[in-house]
Amino acid sequence: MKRRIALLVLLLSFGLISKSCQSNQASKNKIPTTHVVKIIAMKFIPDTLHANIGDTVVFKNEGIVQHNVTNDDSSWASPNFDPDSSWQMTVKGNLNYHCSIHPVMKGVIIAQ
Amino acid sequence: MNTLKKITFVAACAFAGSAFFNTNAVAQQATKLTDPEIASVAVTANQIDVNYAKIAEKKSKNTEVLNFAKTMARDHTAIIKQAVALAQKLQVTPMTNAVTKSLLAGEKTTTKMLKSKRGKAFDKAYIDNEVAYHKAVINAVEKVLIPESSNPELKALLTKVMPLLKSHLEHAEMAQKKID
Repeated sequence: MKRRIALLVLLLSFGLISKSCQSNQASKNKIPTTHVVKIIAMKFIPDTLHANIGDTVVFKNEGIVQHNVTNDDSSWASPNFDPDSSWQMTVKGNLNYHCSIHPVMKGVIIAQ
Repeated sequence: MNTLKKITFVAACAFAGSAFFNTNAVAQQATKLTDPEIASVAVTANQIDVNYAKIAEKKSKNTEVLNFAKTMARDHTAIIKQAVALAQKLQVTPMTNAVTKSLLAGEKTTTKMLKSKRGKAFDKAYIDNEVAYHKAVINAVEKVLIPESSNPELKALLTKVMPLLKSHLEHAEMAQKKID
């Protein structure tokens, strides 16, 4: 009886470890995606973006004046970019950002 | 109601007693604004705010005020360039009119007032004027300039400018709260 229980535990453990490895592999194998955040009418659209770490986010300025993307903690900022131009970044984690030229413009990237 | 009276009315609703429009101009008669006149009003209104920003950049030491002034100078200069480029494309020469003259008269009074102030009093006067000025301009663009413009490209540019003006107003109100 004890042997049967031990065998069952062993099999279950193997199954769980195997599933966990598959899951980690799946996460690592995710192909980075490119997301687009448009700047239109003084808004980041979408203003909340769900993305994976390693994904690219392209900010397209479809407005009529220059904008930038500035981390809310002020640790970094993109250069100012003109209308009809864009700037891109790689997602490294969660990000709360704004345009420092127009502080009323705000956005969030939620890293998954 | 003629155009000048309409603009004066919406401006007066936005901020009674401001120097945005010269009261003498109310007495003048005006018909519906033509596109060259609208172009002139748009360029003048933008240039006036660039001029106020230049005064602020010289006189203020407050970071909030300086950042706001820098944004005003940058954005309104960009709008002037686009308005002038559109006028050239449409072969329209901006035409001075009673509204333009009224705007310039208001600028003269406000500039005198701003130049007479220093320090915190200047910062408050500049930001208070920016809040009032943007409210008045938003009303004038929305209720007069857009409805009265005939050319679709001119109408489209004025329409595109509206969210920018509204964000400037929001920014000015943010600055106003911080310096009060």
